[in-house]
Amino acid sequence: MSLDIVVVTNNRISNLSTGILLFVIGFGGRIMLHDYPNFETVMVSIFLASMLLSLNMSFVITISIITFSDMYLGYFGTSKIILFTYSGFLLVSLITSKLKNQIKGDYNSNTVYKFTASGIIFAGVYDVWTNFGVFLLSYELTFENLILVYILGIPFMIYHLLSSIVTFSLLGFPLYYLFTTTNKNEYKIPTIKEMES
Amino acid sequence: MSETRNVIIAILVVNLLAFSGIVYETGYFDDEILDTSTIVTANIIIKFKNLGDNDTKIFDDITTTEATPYGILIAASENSYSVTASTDSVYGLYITSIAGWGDCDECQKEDGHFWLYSVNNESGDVAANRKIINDNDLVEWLYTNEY
Repeated sequence: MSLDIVVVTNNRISNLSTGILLFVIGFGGRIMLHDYPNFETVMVSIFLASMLLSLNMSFVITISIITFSDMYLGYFGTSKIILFTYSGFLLVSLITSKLKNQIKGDYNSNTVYKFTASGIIFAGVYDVWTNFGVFLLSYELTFENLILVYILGIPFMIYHLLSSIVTFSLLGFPLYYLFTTTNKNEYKIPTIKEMES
Repeated sequence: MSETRNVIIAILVVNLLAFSGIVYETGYFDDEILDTSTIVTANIIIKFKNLGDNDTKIFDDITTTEATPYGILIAASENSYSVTASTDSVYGLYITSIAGWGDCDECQKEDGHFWLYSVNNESGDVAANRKIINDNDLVEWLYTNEY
């Protein structure tokens, strides 16, 4: 970097505004898409929060989205499975925060594919974890039942993976670049000679 | 500019694949070719895992003009029990309550329980109004938390 030029970079949108926008996308998307099981915007909102904000902030966004949407839809506290759904989303948030440097990239097609792959992987992680919760809470604990739960969950998992491709590429990628687009201002620092003249 | 083009192409490619998969998975185009309007006579059992065997309802030789687990459920319900259903799902119609158990305004609900059907002891693999049943089949509706 030149010694007499300073580049000042400002995020276009503040962390608080980013958090609020992601909450609205996650909460609103879940309500609007409620009639389409496993097609939701919660996962991509949590992913973006973890990519763009601190771990603590992303946890707050994650818990807020699922708690408020559950309360709105009347699911809050109705089943013990929320122990697994909530912790599943927090797990996605944690993994994303740890791997954000590997996931992020420039504005190119490779980053689109990385975001898409992230959607598939995180939907898979979430479904494997929550299906395990279904097994623990609803079935006799035998190995055969464990396999049965995962087999019965395959159609739902496939649909969730496919819908995650859509949300992560159509929503996640563009929003990531919207949120991270920067205003770069160059300030020239005058030299001593220039100041004296 | 060429980078934007590559990004758009990448997004189109992955979404084309995803939407193709979703259409295939939901059987969207299958709906047009299924004919359920056959008269069949079959047997139906309604069980409640949460209540035990004493509350099981058995109806033999029920005739319906809609040859599906949903059709036979409705046919047997006349003067016997109430049924509510919803179509608010990409998977098609699903039963929300039978005989006052499940999701309805006046219903009792057991935590984590849903209505599932089987035909001749084989679990349903499509919506209840998309599965064809035949004469003398045994349709079982079970209120259960195992799915």
